[in-house]
Amino acid sequence: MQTIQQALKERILIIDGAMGTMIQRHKLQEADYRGQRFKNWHKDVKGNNDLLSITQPDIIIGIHKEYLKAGADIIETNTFSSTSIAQADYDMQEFAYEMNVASAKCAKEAIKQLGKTAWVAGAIGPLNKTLSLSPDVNNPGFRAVTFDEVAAAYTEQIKGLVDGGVDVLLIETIFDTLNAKAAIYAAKNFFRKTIYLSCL
Amino acid sequence: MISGTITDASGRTLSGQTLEAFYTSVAHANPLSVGLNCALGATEMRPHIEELSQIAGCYTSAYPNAGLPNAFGEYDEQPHQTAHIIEEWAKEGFVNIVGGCCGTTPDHIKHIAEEVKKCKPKELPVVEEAY
Repeated sequence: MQTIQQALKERILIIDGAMGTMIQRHKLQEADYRGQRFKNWHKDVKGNNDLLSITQPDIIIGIHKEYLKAGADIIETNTFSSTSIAQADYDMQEFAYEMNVASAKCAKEAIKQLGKTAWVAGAIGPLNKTLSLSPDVNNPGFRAVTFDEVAAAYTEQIKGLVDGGVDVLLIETIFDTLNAKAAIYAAKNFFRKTIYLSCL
Repeated sequence: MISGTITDASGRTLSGQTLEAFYTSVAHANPLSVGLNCALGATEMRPHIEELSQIAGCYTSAYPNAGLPNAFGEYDEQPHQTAHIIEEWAKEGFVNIVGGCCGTTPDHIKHIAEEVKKCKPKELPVVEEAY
């Protein structure tokens, strides 16, 4: 198979469109998000779109397939919020790694089912906590999270994405560059410490 | 791959960096591509993607929202409208990877793919050795 680097020399590549917009069309309810496995979860999980890769994989695979059929060369994993930090909103931080593996597999499965040449980009989102800005207007020096905590959360996400089989990592929607630096640091460290051969 | 977000017409990220500062901050990662996504529609993103394309030493990506959201938070820009603007970027040679962010659908992607099919990708600049 051609590598993404080779393809980029030859033509403009198409990356897919919104995952959230497509999920909304399914009009899923709380019970759909929970599935059988999280039937008795102690917090509401409706809106936790990344969880759907575990509880409703067929919906996620279906959306990926629609984008592949539309002409996408690169599809993004459903992992925008799959970090222990972002998942804490739902008290689901312990499932962050599993969500990344499951989402990467959904994307790979969609490509396999269509027998198309396409690449999977592991989506790494910006987090709901920022390293450069204080959430407290009365205390501008306050930070809700530290660089090391962010780097650790991203390391776990990257491990999940790589174990699930992504081709490339995509650090996206960066509104705070320091968060992105933590993700870059996590990625570089991760690949240095493992035998995985990949690129950022 | 690295993709930043410019939040308004000031051309800065939410944490206050200009586009050039943002690129300079992440260039050490030696990414496959650097680009912009989200917050803006294609119309608003145009000057920024042009600037980034000129300063970036790697491939350039852009995947804007389907316009700006309406009062209900929904996106109204039609696939052919988004695709038309992105085709312009491709013709100008700004981009290597294009697609969509919030509000875009498989139909948007289909139109974008059709429009840019005939355009050439941006070539990587030859960076001279520093002595």
